[in-house]
Amino acid sequence: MSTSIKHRGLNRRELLRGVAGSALALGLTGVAGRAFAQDQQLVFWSQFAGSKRAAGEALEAAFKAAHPERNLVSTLYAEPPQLNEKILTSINGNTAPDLFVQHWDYNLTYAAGDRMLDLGEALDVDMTALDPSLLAYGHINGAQYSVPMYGTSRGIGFNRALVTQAGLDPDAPPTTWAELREWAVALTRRAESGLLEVAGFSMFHNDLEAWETFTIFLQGAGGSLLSDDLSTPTFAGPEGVKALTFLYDLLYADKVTDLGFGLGPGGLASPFNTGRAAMIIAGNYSTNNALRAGIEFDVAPIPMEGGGFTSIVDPFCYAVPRDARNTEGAVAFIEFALSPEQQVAFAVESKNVPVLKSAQQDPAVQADPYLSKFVHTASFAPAKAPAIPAFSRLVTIIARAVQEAMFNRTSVENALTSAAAEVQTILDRG
Amino acid sequence: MTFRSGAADAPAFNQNLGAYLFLAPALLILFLSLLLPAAATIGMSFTDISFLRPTNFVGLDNYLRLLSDGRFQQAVFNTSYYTLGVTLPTMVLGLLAAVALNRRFPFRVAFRTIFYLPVLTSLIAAAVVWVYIYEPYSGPMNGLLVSLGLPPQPWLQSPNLAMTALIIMAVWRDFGTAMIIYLAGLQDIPEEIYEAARLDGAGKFAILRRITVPMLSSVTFYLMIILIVQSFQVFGAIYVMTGGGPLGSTETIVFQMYQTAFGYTEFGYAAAMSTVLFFVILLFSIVGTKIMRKGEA
Repeated sequence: MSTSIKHRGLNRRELLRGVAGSALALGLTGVAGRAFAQDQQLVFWSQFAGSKRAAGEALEAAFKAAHPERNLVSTLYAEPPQLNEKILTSINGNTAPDLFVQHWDYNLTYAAGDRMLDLGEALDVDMTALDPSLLAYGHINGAQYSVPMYGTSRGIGFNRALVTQAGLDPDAPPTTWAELREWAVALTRRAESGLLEVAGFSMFHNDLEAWETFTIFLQGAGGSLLSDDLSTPTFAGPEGVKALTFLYDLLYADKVTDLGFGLGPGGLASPFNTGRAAMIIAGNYSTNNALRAGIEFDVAPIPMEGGGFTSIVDPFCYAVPRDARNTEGAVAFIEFALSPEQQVAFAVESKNVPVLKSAQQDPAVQADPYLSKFVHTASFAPAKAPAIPAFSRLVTIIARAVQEAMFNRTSVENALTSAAAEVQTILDRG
Repeated sequence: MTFRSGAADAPAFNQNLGAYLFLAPALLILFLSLLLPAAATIGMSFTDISFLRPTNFVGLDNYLRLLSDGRFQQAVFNTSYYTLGVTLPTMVLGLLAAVALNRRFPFRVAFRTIFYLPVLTSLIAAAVVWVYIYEPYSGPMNGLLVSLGLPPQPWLQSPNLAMTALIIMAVWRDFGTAMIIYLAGLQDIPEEIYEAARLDGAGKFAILRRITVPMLSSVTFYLMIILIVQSFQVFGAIYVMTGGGPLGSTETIVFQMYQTAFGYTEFGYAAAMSTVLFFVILLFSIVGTKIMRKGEA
């Protein structure tokens, strides 16, 4: 056999060398090709899920059409905590994406560890064209580590049918706390047994909403969560006590709702969407479910104690890991997403408040009866944001304090003072 | 001298080489997937690791912080209450169901299957269904109470009731497992013992108390350890049904660990919680095993 191979000019050893060499060459070509392909990829982890899904898909399709040279590879995550787990582990495994969009408070946590790119320097975008109250949520340690795609805003959501039944004018919503209280009392319906049939004002359905409701009324009383330099909690002052006492009185003196009423998963089965609550603190994300549930939904700005309005905004922001492989592609995507056309298209499709100020006033956005009202309520949000890395802990502590007072476990003053002390410890820890 | 004799009697290492080689893949997987992460967790508990900022060695700081952390203490209480609340009723109901279904009667297999079905159900799906069952205004649980002339209850909305509501759901889900294990144990009790007891005039309750329960003691201890370990690690149902609320009344150690690690990025502190939980479970397992061995002896 050996002779026959020799006869053809190739011995066994040469054959084996040839096979090994070819295999090595093929392998190296494959690895190099794969590495090259990966370099060209723009890996995007998206949180445009639920009501934002269609808008997110349209944005990605438009980007691919406008930038055929960029190989956008996106993965969708249903919830911010799910995306957070992936990002935390990937940052440490050096497998982080080039770009992601996430709820703002998570981005601040990553930024505090100096793991994010300063987008203020990287982007070729006029930052003054963006809504400053939304932009403030991505600003930490003197840099703009994340940039919002859109925000949500809050207003008083009410059921027009129930308001009319109660003899109130749905076109003249409350403009002070006293009027809000009158509406809540008038809208409350109880059976003879005392069983709550319709809550005049359903306050909160989970921890996040407990924090949110308190914060809104704190602002309504002229207070704020933190000092201007974000180093001291200020929510336990007279304004905080006034806000929580107002909520406590609505519950116990006016009985406009029951404690725990509607605590649960929410969605279409929430008290508001089943006609068992006449007023709530609503976000623009409330619109689709309310309309789908057949509620005559309307929204008005949230009154402050003695007149004027307030709100909070809550942005979802883009961020780019400092060690991203395709920073250039990531920056190109953000710039594309912040263009007027994409901002308007995303807002109209997803019913969210665009970050670009010109898009907020665009005729297409203003033509949407609900979105336009939420754009209006967003304008009452404070320009200063509680942008601290420990924000999620702050929410838990305040929500616990609010509920401790509401469940009569402690007084309003004690609940807020203890919470402020706890928050101070966390702020001091850095 | 004894050790010399033992050493001399032991087969040489190379005689057992084959056995070690066969065990090696399993041991390697066990080491990589279980022992290494466990050791890493214990190591992390002495640091302030966040995976985002530089890590510092903090000694026993995390453990000292646990001692003064009111929320952790509440989580320990909640976990203990849940464990106790789930373990005992599950075992009692499982035993009663097993004894009842160990007899021959029509549709016995169908009943066994029905009782075991909750174990096979997806936890998340079951939790979503139970949220609906507990819905205070339109849920079937309060519908039943009202039809009996009792006032409706805010099952998952009240800090005083929420954990009990979770316990009821866990017992519903787990007692099928207890039933199957007890049924297997009942097959090992010789029929002659029951016949002898009946000839001696023992009643049904006396037979259950004097023969069945003592003869199932090793099964009972095994089951108890399984249920305790499982209950200490409860997470999924709480995540779906209450999110730890209201007022932290359903926040357990594992839930708090998850929140501390991924919500607050304090992985070192969460590792300390995890280590404490590990040693508590280990303690229960060792004590349980010793009691079981003593009982068998």
